[in-house]
Amino acid sequence: MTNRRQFLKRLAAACVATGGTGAWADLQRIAAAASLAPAGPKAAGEDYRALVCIFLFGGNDGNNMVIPTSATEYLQYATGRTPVLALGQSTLLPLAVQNTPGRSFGLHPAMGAFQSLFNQGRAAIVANTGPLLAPTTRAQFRARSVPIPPDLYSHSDQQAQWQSSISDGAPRTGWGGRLGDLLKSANGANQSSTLISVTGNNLFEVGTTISSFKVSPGNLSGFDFYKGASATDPLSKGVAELLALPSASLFEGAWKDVIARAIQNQQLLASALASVPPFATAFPDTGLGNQMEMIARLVAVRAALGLKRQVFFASLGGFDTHGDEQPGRQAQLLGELSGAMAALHSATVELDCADLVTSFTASDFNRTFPSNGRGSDHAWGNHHLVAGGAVLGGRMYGTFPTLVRGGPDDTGSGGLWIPTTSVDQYAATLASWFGVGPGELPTIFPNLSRFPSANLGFMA
Amino acid sequence: MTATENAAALARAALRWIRAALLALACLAGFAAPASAANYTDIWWTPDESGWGVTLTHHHDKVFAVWYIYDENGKPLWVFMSDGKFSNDGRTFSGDVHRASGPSYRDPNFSWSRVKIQRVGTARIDFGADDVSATITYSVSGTTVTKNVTRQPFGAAPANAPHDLSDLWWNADESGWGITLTHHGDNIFGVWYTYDADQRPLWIVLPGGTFQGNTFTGKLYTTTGTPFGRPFVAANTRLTEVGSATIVFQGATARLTTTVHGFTQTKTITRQPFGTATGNAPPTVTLKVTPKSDPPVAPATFTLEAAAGDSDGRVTKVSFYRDHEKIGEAKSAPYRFTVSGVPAGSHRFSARASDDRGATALATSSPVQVNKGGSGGTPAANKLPKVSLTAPAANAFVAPAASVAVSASASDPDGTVARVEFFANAAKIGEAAAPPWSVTWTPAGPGAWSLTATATDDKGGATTSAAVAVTVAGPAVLLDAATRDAARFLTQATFGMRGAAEVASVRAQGYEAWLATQFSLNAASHVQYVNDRKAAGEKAHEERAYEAIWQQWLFEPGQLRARMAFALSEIFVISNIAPDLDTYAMASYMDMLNRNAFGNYRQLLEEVTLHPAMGYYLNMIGSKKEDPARGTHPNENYAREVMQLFSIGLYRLNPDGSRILDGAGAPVPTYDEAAVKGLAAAFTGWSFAGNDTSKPSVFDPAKENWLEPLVPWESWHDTAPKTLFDGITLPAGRGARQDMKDALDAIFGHPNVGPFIGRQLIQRFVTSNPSPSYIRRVASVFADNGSGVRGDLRAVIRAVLLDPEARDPAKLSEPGWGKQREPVIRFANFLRAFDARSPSGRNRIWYLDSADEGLNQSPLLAPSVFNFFSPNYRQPGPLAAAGLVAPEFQITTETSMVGGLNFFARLARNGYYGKDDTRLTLDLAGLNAVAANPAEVADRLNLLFMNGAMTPATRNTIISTLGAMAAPKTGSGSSITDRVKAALVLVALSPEFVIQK
Repeated sequence: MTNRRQFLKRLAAACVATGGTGAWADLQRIAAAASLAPAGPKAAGEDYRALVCIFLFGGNDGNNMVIPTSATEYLQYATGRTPVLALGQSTLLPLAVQNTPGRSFGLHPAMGAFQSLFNQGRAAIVANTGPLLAPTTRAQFRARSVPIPPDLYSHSDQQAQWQSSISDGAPRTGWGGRLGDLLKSANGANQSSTLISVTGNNLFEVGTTISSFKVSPGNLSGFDFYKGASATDPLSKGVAELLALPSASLFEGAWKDVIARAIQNQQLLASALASVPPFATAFPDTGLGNQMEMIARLVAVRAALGLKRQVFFASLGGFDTHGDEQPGRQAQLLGELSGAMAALHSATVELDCADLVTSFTASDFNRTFPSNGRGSDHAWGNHHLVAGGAVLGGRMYGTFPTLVRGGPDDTGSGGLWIPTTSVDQYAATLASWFGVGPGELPTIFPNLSRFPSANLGFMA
Repeated sequence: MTATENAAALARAALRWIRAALLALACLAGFAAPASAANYTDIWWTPDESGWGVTLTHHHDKVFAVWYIYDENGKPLWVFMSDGKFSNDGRTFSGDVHRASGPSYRDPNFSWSRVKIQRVGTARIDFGADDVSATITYSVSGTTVTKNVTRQPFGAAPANAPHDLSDLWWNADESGWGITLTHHGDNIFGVWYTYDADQRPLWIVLPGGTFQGNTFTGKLYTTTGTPFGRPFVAANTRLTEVGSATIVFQGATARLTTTVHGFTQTKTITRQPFGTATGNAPPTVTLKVTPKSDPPVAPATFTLEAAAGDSDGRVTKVSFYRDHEKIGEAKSAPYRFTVSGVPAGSHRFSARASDDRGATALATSSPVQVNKGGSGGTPAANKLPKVSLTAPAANAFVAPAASVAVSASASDPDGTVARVEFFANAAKIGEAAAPPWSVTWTPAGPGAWSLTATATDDKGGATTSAAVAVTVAGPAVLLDAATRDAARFLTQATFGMRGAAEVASVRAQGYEAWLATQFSLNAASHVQYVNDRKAAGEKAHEERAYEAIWQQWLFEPGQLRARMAFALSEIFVISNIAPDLDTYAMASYMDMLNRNAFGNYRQLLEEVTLHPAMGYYLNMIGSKKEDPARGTHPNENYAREVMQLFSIGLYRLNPDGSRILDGAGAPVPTYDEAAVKGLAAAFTGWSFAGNDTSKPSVFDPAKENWLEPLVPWESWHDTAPKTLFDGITLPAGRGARQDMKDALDAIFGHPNVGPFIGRQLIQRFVTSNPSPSYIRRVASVFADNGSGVRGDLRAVIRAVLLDPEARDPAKLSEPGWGKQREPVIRFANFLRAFDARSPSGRNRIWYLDSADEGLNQSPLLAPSVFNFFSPNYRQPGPLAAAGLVAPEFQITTETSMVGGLNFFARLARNGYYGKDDTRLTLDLAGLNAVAANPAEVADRLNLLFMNGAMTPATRNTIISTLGAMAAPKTGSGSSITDRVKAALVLVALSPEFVIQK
């Protein structure tokens, strides 16, 4: 308890220093943003950037996504994961990693499309990343001598920490949302299109002044009983009239607000997307493939909408593989992920904006290195994928862990890797590319200064 | 410069201009624009297009123009031209058009620095020779619009009163919003330009009012209208009264007090000087018009004589105009011109004097009537005006106490229309002296009314229009408080009331008696349903399990048990989304929840733990003790979620549900990883019943059995000591069943369970944000039902429903009270309210979980063990800002809204759900029978869907919507009338239905 108290005191001090994460900090940040000019182009060419977050709900077993293939390390892997989970060495897809001399890696066999992307230098891997409150060694973790994020291994909380990049407190905003707060003014009249989710409500895209706009990858038709504000049929007029009535109830107001946004959505989609010609890229007909296709279509109309900065949120669920479904399920899901990321990249090449669109993965957590006999359980530090023309690809960033139970990266003996790179660093690297200046980074990532580097260098 | 930089520079320029205008104040001698005819300050619009307009404020060499128009959604939009240049000898003014966004008028911290201004286009105004008409061309975001506009006459005295208040007024510290006032005689037309809650441009119109001394008061309206750039549609223009404004004038300063939707604020506003004085006083001019014969008869001759002078120079010429056309000029005094050949009709003559430094002044005559020449040169007989009522529509059904716009179209073939008077049942209700010929009528009472309009022309001839019949609805049927609360109680406790009789019955018997009955009613077996369908030759597919659920919800009398089992299924979640669950697993799980709905939580927890559906879903089935040789550990899935989601949660709670905080103010975790591992170990060794548990080899995989509780294999059970939470340990060497029971006892005994489960039950039945004391009262019943028993769910649900807070009628008006009805419950509400039945007595309600086409929710199809939504979900916006959670809003998105409301609209259009012998058909005969009277339709829906809390405004909307649709023919049979379909669509999206209070 003493340690915890000390930790909390330090935390309180840190909040004073950085402005913390509450409403006061939000105000400061917005005040700062108000005086900030829209981010200018980094180089000649179009001033547009899009970030595409692909959230792998349930906790992807990264241990079986990126696997070391050198003799020693593969042996460690196979020893720890045999007999239930280990993938055969010959089935792994080799990666031409340019910056890990002496160490070699392979990908899960279902990820051929991503392998190509990586080997062409269009994608990178960020190893052993996760929520942290300070750089943390095994000794420090075991002694609790540095602050440790609360609620490790809990789905809901770790999702919130990944999506907020705030691992010490109850986050009310996501880091995508805070990027939107900061940069939405660049989008002129269509600021409501700054944050778009193709998969439903999420914390990642909740800002203080804006939150995400939901777009369905499937059904683009609007309300079939309401013909628009200028319609004169009695029902359309009645609907408009009903929605315009004042409500004292905040719940009623919120309900009508979503309807109003749905109508806005209807118009956005009808007017803008109708003009997008079909892609030559064949998007896989999967849930995530459809989401990526909708994102590509939205990117295609960026100019028509006058957009300069967009944050997209997509997701793929089903990664919580505790049971014996793990091998089959994960293969299916990673295949879907790999195909969808490659298709999005291919479509952005078609649209001649590949270096303006970057997709990246996030997930609740990694899974336990050893099996529970069938599948695997909740763990911590995980490997993530980044793809796009601006990615300094064909490389691995961060530090790949030692795959030994009780080894230097393990919290104990259960094979739960302590992250060596924090979500804050991963997110800040993407945010910097997105156009956030160094002076603004601490307001978006209040804990960033606790880590040695604010930029992992994987973005051009 | 890139396009972005260019736009930013222009926006900065616009801001600079506004600031410069502020600073220029002291430099100018006179602040008021002289109200001479050479000044364009006025409100201008296109006479046939009432509802939008442009205000011009003309100071010296500048005109500040504000367009009050509508965006593509028909919502108010204002854009402005703050700077520009005169050209074409002062007849053309052009410049850039800007659009602004900024803090809401409700924002207490308005600051100009928060106003964002963006250039969106250009504008050009060509003033007509008469100074009364103009052609305005403007572009906004690529759409170019050209409109012919004229100054709009209003007010009782002549325009240009000596103390003209027409000007652009704003608060000197808050440039970015303001009010343009156009002052004609005894009246003012004001438009307040500001921003809405989304920081979008908003204008609110003050279309007139009354002076008392230096205080002007009038009503405020918001409007919607035809999107600019589209063909004008008069019916799109809609005014909604939102409040009032009072302006107290004190020289160049005024105090503006506005009340909008109950929100009142007062701001100091000042006239805004701008432009550069030329230093040249304009000339003066008056005009005298003398006809050669009186009355003038076409072709007529007039003598125009102007008296012109210039105080600081000389008059160089006087030009004469007939209507918009220049007809002559005189360069020296006397300035006289004779015009002949003037045709029949109404004409105005004008004289424009110009001085030696280019300033001009205009004088315009009153209208002069020239009669048609007859064959004998005598004046023709006066032709009577034409008049007809254009609104309301014939046989309209209007709401009580509604403000009904009564409008006429009037014209006169040989002169002008002087006035139009309006009558209701022969009593005069008002008159208009100028177009638009319209008055607002508030009917004195319900029933049939006959409306007429009488137009009188300039020569006193009058015509009365054909009568229009209108029916005015009666007042709402008022329900007594006990009836309203009985309806509310049924909304909270059931899948929807079946009609007024059920409400009356509950009201009569009282809630305790109703509860006692409900507690005694058991649910039909879902497993038996599946068996019956199998016996009937159907496959035991998963759809059978969903059908069984909906059979219970729609048709069984034990509604509270059904609601409780559904609520429990949203806490102790299993889902067929992934992995696939067996049909019998789901059916027997629902049977188990029904069985335990009013039982004890401890028993429920054990039956959940050992249910094969849960064992399969959260992987307790087949979980083995740690195997160092294989490097495997017990499965942690169930162990973690049973604590986090089913019982105690992540943080230690006070009895009122608030978090216990440590000395540093941080929440205290209930358990750590060791407890997860300990509990996982305690739960090892279980698999399907019906296997030989003495044989380790049949443990994994064991033969499936979805109907009986799991049984232990001691050979696979971990017998090492286990650490749980709060220092509780399970000793070594105990059997699987003993460990399981001890572990569940430890969980059950944890003080968190009452507030943790109690709060979620309150959220499922009553309100999303119960007060701490409400939670505490429910938690205390969980702790002790009054007979010393902990965990009595019957007592707990009774406490949830009968708590004073649940029943308090004052809560209905609290902004943060209530909850969104869950989508599937809304669907059940509709089916039950209209007693939907199928020929077979069964349903085929299967998958409603599509966000695009369904309800984004379907029983047993949650995305994960975290349910469809989190009890702590915060909806961004005012709800989150108020610190409130809104669980159901997690599945309420812009896309699911479309899917969900279309789902209900489809149900309303079809009148059924499903097909063949399982098609559930809504019995809408009762509503159809009263469809001729929209008020009665509204009143029935009020009880069935809104617990009697429909607001008058919603009722009026339903009445006016239905009233504008064709009345149903009598004897139209069983087909659903359009009015009933529309009414159901409006109910499905109405906040008073969707938000349960």
